[in-house]
Amino acid sequence: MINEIVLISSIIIFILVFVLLNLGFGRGKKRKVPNIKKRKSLYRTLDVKTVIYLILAASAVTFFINTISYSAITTSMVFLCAIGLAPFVLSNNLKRMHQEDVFQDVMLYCQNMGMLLKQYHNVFMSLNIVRGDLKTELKTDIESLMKIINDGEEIDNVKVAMSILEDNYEYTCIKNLDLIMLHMLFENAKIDDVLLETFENDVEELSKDVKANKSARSAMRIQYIGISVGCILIYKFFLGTMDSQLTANLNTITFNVVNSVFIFGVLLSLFFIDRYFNAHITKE
Amino acid sequence: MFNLILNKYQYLFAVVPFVGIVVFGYFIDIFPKGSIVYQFIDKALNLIAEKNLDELLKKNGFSKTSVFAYQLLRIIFGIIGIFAGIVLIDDAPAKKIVICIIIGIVFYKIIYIFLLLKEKNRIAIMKEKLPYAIKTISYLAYVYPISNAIERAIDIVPKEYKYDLEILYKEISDDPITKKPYINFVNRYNGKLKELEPCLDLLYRMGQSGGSKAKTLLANLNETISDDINRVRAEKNRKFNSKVGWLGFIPVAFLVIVLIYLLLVMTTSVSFVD
Repeated sequence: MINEIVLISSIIIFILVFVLLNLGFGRGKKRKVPNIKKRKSLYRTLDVKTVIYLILAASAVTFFINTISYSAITTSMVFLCAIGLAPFVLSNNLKRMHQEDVFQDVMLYCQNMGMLLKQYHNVFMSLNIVRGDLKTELKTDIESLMKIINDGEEIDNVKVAMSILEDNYEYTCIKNLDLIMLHMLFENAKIDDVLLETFENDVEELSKDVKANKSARSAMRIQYIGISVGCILIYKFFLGTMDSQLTANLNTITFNVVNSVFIFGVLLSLFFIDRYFNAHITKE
Repeated sequence: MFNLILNKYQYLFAVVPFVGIVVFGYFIDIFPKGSIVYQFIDKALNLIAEKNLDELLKKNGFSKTSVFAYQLLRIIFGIIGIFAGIVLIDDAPAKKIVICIIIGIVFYKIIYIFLLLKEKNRIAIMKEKLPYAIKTISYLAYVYPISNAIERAIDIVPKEYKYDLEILYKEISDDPITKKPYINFVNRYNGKLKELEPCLDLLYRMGQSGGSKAKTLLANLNETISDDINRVRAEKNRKFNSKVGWLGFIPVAFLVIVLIYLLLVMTTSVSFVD
């Protein structure tokens, strides 16, 4: 009886959420501009619409799991776990999207600087043109660097500012661009166009590699979700065909324990492994 | 009688030979180098008396630990292994003592194996960072002479190469004509970084030539290094992706474990029915 109640309540929640979303009940907050101090944290806040989506996803998972769960307690715990872990998954995904945005900005910065330095041979002018195209916290960092250069600071201060940039964005192209800029600023010498072309080629190769890695990782993630769903379906099929033998040979408690181990094992691994699918995509 | 004596002094009979074996390997030099005894001891005890311990300790973050302290720690660890063996193993005394000596030697060796693994990891990291270090030097070589480029690169290259680059720069300043500083740089890695040799050969030739020939060599170096960087990056991504791919089989592992358990329960004669 309790099992049926939990199943019906999951369906009702599912329908309610679906209807509410379509009525436009949840309007998201405006996206905040990233703060430099919080550069490693989420840049989107959790709005009502996102929370509703999370509840919807948790209900869908519970509804699916309920078909193999023979205990109302297990089903309820699955729902609570799904609700509790969903923000964790969301935060990983948002971090990954933020890192991709930062990477796009870094590539834009490096490629444009390569072209502009070839054209104008002026570091400050090139930085001024490039910063207009940037969207993430890189823009603020570049503006700080520009201020130091414009104030006519000594080479050591400029090197310190550049080293902060290199620490925040751990890419070789940033380091190499800093070398080129330092040389142009303080040696007053013209940079060979061949060097700038080499720099542009290196940036392009990095961009290609990261894009390929991103596609591969996305495919692996879909494959992983497919394998997890497939395992649950195979388990369901097994329970269906062996129902009478299982009832004859196992008591209820043992069966529920085994069932719970499988359900929670698959679910928890789904949530915790998901962060590996979001890691190391845009790193060099 | 003999067994009684062995049983009574089993700790002594196990520890003394163990210490004798591990310490004796270090006195190999008392025998003439070409002699049969030296060759036998060198081959048989080479497993125990490691010659490169000092270098391994320095390069792997144990520079403050002296070789003596490290060896003492290992001998103590080996003795602990022997004591554990004597307590846990239940066998004839003579056999027990031999097994415990072997356990002691294994415990003694385990710490060195960890050090070797750490060195292997360090060399792997250096191989990974080598193209980036050479790339930095090549960028600087576009605007400075080679020796100045190496000097400026010291602050910028990965920290694994800083110390060796400092020595290279000093040797080039003392002897700018010959290839010896570059050869010494390569030899410091005991042939473990084979990729270093052609790059340094090119740098030497660039340093000795000038004008368009140097530019051609620099362009060749850049092309080689760019290919190496792409290869290193692809390899890193492949390793990470394969690790993630294996993690993806955890649900399959759960399914297999649970199904095997249920099938075993159903097929055995023991009933769990209440």
